[in-house]
Formats: sequence, C-alpha cells, structure tokens
Amino acid sequence: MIIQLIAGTTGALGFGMLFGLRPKYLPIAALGGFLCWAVYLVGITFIWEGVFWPTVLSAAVTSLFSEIIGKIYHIPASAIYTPAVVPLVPGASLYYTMNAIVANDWIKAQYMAVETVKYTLGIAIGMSAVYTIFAIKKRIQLKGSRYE
Amino acid sequence: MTSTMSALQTGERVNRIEYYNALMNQLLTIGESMLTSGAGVNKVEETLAAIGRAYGASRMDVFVITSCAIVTMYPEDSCAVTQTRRILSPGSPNFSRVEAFSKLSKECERTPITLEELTDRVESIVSRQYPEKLIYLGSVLAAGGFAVFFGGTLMDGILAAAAGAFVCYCQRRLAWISPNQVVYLFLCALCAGFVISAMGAAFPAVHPDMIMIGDIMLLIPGVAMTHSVRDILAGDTISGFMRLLETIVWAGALACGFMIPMWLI
Repeated sequence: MIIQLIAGTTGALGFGMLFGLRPKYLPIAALGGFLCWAVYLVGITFIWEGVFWPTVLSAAVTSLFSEIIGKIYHIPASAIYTPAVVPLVPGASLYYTMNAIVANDWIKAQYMAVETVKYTLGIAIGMSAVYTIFAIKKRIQLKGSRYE
Repeated sequence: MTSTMSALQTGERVNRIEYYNALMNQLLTIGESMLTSGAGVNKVEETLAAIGRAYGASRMDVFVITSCAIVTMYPEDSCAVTQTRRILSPGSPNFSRVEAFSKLSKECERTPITLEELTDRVESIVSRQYPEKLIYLGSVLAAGGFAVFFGGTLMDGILAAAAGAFVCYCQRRLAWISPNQVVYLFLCALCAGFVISAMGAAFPAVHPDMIMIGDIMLLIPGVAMTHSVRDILAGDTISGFMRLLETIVWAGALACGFMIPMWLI
C-alpha cells in the first residue's frame, strides 16, 4: 500500500509535467495524486467491495480538492484534477482489454472491458457530481446562464 | 451631402464588421488553443462567451466540439458575425497555456484590452512551449512510477523509466510524419514495444508486461476517455461520444502496436 501510494504520487507528479503544469503547482498535483489513491484505498479496504464506489468517492474527493485549490490560486480546477486523478485512470485494464481482443480471448476481454467501464464511469460520476455542485453555486452567485 | 453622410456611415459599418471579424478570429484562436491544450469543451465555451460579452456582444452563441468551434457574436453596434474553426489535431495537454488564457479572459472581462494587444497576448500564449527537459522528466517519473504502482519491481520501474524517456523521444519525433492520431499512436507503441521486448529478452528477471503497462500509461488515452464520459454526463453529448469512439480506436491502435513486437521477439 505504501509503495503504491509513493508510486502513485510519483506518477501524478510525472503527469503534472506531461500536462504542462506550471512548476509551482507540481507539488500540489502530486499531493492530489496521493490523496486520490489514499481515499481509493480507504474505500476499497474498509467500506466497499469492488472498484466502482471507491472510484466514485476518490474522484469526488480529488475533484473537491482541485476546485478548492483552483479557487485559492485562481487557476482552472482541471489543471490540478487531471494529473491528480491519473492513478484511477484505467490504463492497465484498457490495455488488458485490447490485449485480450488482439489475442482473441473474448472472455478475458469482456471482463477487462467491464472493469475499464467501472473505473471510467466511477471517475466521471465522481468528478461530475462535484463539478455540478460548483456550477450551481456559480450560477446562484452570477444569477445568469453561460448561454446568455 | 446626404450621399457623403451615407458613405461615411457605410464605411464606419464596414470598419466595425472588420473589427468584429478580427476579434472573432482571435476568439477562435483562443478556443482552438485551449481545446488542444486540454481544456474541456465547457470551459472553452464559457471563456469565449465571457470574452465576447466583455467586447460588447449582447449575445454570444458558442458551440464547441472536439473537432470544430462555431461562434456567433451579436454586437450592439453592428450586425451579427459568425466564424467557424476546424480543429484537426487533438494536440497535447499544456495546462499552463489554459491557465494563461483563463487569466487573459478574466482580465478582459474586467477591462477589455485593445484588439492589437489582445492579438499580441494570444500569439505570445500560443507560442509558449513547456520546457522539453520537464516533459522528458515527466515521462520518466510517470512510466517508472506506474510500472511499480501496477505491481512491478523496482528494477521494472527503472527500466520502464528508461523506456519512458524513449517513448517521449518517439512522441516528439514521430508526430510530424504521422498523418493522423491512429498512425501516430501505432508507431509510438511499435517503437516502444520493440525496446521493451528487447529489455525483457536481455534481462530475464524483469517483468516486460509491467514495464509495458508503465509506458502504456504515457500513451493510452485514459484521461481522454474519462473526460469524454464526463462530457456525456454534462450534456455535451456530441463531443463526449466523438472523443469516446476516438479513444477506443486509439487504444486498439496502441494494443496492435505493442502486440507486434511481442509476437516477433
């Protein structure tokens, strides 16, 4: 677990650089990556079985963290969120899915595809929930619509 | 006298239309650059609408999808102006650019700067490149980190980091010869696959699959796939589905690229 936390944090830091984040925000992105995986581990170890709900919780907490950082430093929340959430991104299961398809192993492909969908949906739902709350708050503050 | 007045008014109207066309061109450059630098369609639509309103639009109709942006501006002192921009490349993430555009937008909302100054600022932000050494370092850290993260040993991590630097080199050198993203990702995966398979053959104690997964994280469109689902949930259905289908095809190209060296070596 500790190795995963360190490795996940290092990965998030690396992705912060790959995503062109300004150097002064790189430690925050790494902290976000640490938080993301720590919350996921708490969820999957102590609360739920299966990957979906821990992913939703972790994505929501990371999104909240990014929104708060975005407000403090006046930067887009996605700049922090995108590298921070990378430990949850189903890169490995997406690869195994495609690997199984190329190898003509359709049973494994089906299983891995479902895992990939669970992670992807979990991240999307978690981040959308927090995004929606902040969007409603912004609309109330502005009393207007983005389409006006 | 009346004809002179009319000619003057026509000239003024033409100037205004030219002004708004030039402004729209800058808005679309901002939108294109933000989109190819990793901003979501929502954020791009919001930013363009806000800048347009700051420059005197009574209404802004902004429609952005991942491959196209259409903007209609309704200025209070001129007729409506519409421009379209086709976005051909998915680009590469550069959040410092997104941040700079976001700041520029807020600045313009407070006090609109002149069109000349806006053009200069936009050009300066678009030409801003992220330091190459940080991109290489990022690839090394991300590939090494995720090889260990997904269950690899420290040795797997070190070799994945070395291969990560090679993947980064391939990404930077193969982009210009690739006609599209599918070919680009296939070529990158093919090159990386050969190097990793050779590492596996040279060092029997390491786990080539773990090294591969670490390096695949650099190429696999996992973030794009996640964002596409978020776009669908947020109501940007066309963008979301377009990107989702693209990412599935990209993942397929990657798998094929990585499989060929595994079969051969």
